[in-house]
Amino acid sequence: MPAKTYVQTTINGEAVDFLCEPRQSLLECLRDVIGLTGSKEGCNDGNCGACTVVLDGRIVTSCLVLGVEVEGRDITTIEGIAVGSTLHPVQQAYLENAALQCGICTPGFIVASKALLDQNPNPTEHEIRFWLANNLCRCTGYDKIVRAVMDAANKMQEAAV
Amino acid sequence: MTTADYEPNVVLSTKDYDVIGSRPIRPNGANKVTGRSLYGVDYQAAGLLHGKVLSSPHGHARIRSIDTSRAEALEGVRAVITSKDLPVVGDGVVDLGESTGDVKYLQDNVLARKKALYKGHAIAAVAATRAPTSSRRRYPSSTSITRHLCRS
Amino acid sequence: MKWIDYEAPKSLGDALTLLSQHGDRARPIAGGTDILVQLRAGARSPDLLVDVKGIPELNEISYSPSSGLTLGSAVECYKVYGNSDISNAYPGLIDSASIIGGTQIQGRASIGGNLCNAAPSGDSIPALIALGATAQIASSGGTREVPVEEFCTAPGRTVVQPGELVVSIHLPAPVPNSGARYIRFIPRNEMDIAVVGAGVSVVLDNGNIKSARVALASVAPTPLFVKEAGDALAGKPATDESIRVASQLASDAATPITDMRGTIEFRKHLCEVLTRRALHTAIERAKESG
Repeated sequence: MPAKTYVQTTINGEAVDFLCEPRQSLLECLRDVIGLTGSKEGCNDGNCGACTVVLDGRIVTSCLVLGVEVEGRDITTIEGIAVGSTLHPVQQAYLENAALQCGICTPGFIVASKALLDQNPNPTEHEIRFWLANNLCRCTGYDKIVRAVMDAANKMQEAAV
Repeated sequence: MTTADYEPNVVLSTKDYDVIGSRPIRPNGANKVTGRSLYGVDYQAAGLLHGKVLSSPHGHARIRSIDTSRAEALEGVRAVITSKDLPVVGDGVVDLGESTGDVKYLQDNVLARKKALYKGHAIAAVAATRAPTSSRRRYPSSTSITRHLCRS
Repeated sequence: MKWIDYEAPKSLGDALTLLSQHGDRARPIAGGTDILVQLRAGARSPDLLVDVKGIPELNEISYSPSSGLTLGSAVECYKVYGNSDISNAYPGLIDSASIIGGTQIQGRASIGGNLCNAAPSGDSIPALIALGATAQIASSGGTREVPVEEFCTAPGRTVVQPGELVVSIHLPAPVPNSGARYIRFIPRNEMDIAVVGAGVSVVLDNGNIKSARVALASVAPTPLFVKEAGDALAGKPATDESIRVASQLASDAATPITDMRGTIEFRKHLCEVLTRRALHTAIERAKESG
């Protein structure tokens, strides 16, 4: 019986297949097996959100998903947020609002922020803070992150009109 | 100076600056918001080893002996070091840049010599490869490697 | 973590076969937000994870105003609070589902898993107890039903035997003039483990409390059903005085420990405060639900 499981999945719109042991998390598969190192490991237990990816339309902490569990699923990582060389409004807003310093938490925050705006295009500050509660930042103090999300929401709404 | 002497809005310069007063985008920002930035842990290379430090679970603990032989025998472990592998640098006050320190005390903080000074003090360090490609056996995690070191 | 094998049965029968074949060497995985953390820490060490997310019965959400709610044990929290039937009928359960972890955790974690993990601090458990919920446990021999207040036996331990699987949780149909509420005290505003949690439900009858149920988290080895607090409210007017009596009984029944999250004294104090506040809200909800 083979030690590794063969998994076929869709990542950032492309078919991707890989081999992994059942004990390897999706985060480990993304980073070490597939080479998508944008998602980061902060805590490995679901508390910090640095590993956040979208799985079948919902944000999850990929450290608590097993690679074998994503057979046939649809995944979006930080690498799939920008479209070619065009930054997503959320990414642009993080830059313009200085919502990052060391940047380690940033991929997780951006994936989570985009997911919020996809679901709720006009969130209140309270809604933003609670939606992002599962993402931790040691550098910024969160204020500029919240402003960046509100800025992105405004820009996206203006663009949609 | 009293409040009567205070002059608000003293203009220091009327020059316009290119950068001061502007809100530049940080130069590495685009790489960071796209996940393209490579942090230390993101680097991959053939033959890359991974390191882990064994921290003391005890403070003020005299180290009687450390037996590294079982850890060294584990598959994938390339090296195990303790303070005996580091030279004794002697003592003397050195300039650390923004402060000074006595080398005698600083060296003991690298890897514990005779005593684990505090909980978390580094005792030993291990360099090992990651999981092998096709073994079904229990591959020792870095945590279990350091646990082997603990049993001394 | 240690090596694990993984199976993803697509039917309840196959899952039960696997679970009885492997006994206590196997453990079900739903959201994985507790079991994977425990595996990595060595706190639990099954050899086989049985992924139950593909089993139809464990993903069921069926509600009717007459028979109540059957909630599959693998249904994720986000589906619970995203379901309008459940949100309208069981706001007390929504209180819990929306504060377990954060958004990402709620994308995977299930109420059934929260119950089966049996932490004394499990946020869904006092709400389930207050709502009179039962766990439906299947085995190759049939199904049995256990009231949630009897489900947890010790920290991390439940009545589930090797070879058994919790298929769903059943909540009785809400009666008119009833309301429930779960609140907890935590250091931050979100994400933390409850220092104390209080889940209550009341049924009103003309300004009086006809019946009530009170349960507490984090004050005993298992979530604590304080029957005497609810009994003390039965037949009493829905006033501050009755609420205070019941809240004090809840605090008296609690046997918390002092640990890094709080002292015994603080937790006893929180029991009274949180029970009182939860009862106030439950009563308001009951009045609105008319």
